[in-house]
Amino acid sequence: MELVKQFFNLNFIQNMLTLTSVTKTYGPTRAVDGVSFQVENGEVFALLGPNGAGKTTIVKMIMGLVWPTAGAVTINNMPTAVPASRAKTGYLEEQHRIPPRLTGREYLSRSAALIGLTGGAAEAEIDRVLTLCGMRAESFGKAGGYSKGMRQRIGLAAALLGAPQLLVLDEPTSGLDPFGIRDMRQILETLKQAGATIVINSHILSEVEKICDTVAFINHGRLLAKDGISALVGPGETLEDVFVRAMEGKNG
Amino acid sequence: MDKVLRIAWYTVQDQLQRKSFYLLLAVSLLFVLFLRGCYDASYTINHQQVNSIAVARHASLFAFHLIAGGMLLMAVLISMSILPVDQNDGTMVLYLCRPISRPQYVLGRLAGLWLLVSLFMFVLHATIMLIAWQKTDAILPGYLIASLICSLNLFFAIGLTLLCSLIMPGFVAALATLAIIGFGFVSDGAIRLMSTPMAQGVFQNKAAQEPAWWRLIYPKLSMVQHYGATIISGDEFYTIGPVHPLVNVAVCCAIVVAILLFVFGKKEI
Repeated sequence: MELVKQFFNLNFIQNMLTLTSVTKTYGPTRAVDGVSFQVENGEVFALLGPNGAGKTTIVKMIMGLVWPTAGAVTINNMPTAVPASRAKTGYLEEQHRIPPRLTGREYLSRSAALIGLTGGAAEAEIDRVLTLCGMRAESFGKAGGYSKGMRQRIGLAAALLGAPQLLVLDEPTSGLDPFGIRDMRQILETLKQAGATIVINSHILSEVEKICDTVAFINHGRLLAKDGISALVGPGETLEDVFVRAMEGKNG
Repeated sequence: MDKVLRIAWYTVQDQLQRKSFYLLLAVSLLFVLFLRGCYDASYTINHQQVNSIAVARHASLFAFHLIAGGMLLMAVLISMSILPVDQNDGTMVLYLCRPISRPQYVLGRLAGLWLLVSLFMFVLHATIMLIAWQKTDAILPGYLIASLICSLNLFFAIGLTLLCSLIMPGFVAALATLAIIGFGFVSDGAIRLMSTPMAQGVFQNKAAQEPAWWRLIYPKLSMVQHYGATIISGDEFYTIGPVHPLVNVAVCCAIVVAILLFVFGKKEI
């Protein structure tokens, strides 16, 4: 199959996101060490690893916020240095920050304008994503008065603007209460059914197991394993068991 | 280009939401209104009544320099925190996770600040011109042109502060920029002083007449301001070296912006 794809140059159709031998060093420290993987169209992909494994650095390199020291990151076959690669990409950062002087609605209005949505179309889209994230009533308040969970919801709403083809979520449930986590899962399931490609960086393995198709284990900046959840998790096992085994370097 | 303008517009909006901006505006307008008294008074020197138009011209020139210098300070103070605050409060991520290139973001921020501060200075200069016109019936036609010329200095000050704020804390960046600009003012002022007939009579040496090479390429913000003042007063303009200070500052602006884009392009967000 791989040969057929290469022969017909079908990679651009299949792969939404490609990392090729990506390395990021900070002085003598290798935060990311030769990581390569691909995320296919419509795939829900999770990056799993302990704190300091290099997951957030990978996510930031995907979004063009941090440049790799070596290797390449491409979205839809476009290098992340090209702004157009982010035209159909939504991003939710870990513990999302919103300028406190803006209201949630103003924040979304700016986000919408930056992807070319203005006027009535922007208003309709903002109402849609606010309703989806349960923040329509609170969106008129200044972000300085928002709780962590509210900022996270507005951040998710911003990421969903314009129906992105690729959604990159860095710890999306960070700061959310159990209702928020449930809502987030429902939103992601809806997006998955709609065919969106989603990359999630999360610690909550039970949520990842419910939503994701594929997981990649990262530790000390290295990719330890990448496979479908159904292939990794054996009978009577949970993803947590597999995760612990992978991190401890045991076989199986 | 429309993305740069959009970010510039957001920059203006952000600044207009700051209370400190209105405080500075109020202080500046108060200062300008205080100056009205200079035009009302009658001045006598050596028992001779001084021509009111001459007084208006001198008061207006003084106000021109004071506003242009004050706006340089204000431009630096406003610019020093823009990029550090943007990085801390998520504004940078808001822009850069969208299809916006880093040069577009930086140029948008720079253009927004420049437009705002230049407009602020233009309004203050225009107010002085109108006061002079109302009090003496004398129009100073070069006043607004001089204001526009001085806005080039503001561009340099903003660009340099943004650049410095990428590599050092905001307040230190402001001090560094003010030191660079201040040194130019002192140096150019000294050269202008040395060029006076009296000083040339005292210092009959080569060094006093031919400035060092670094003085020729150093940003001549003081000279640009002086050039603006000569447009108002109609006096002869004295400059150093073969290059006009407008060209000098324009080239310095281009260099600062190029370094700013390069440094920001490498920055980790």
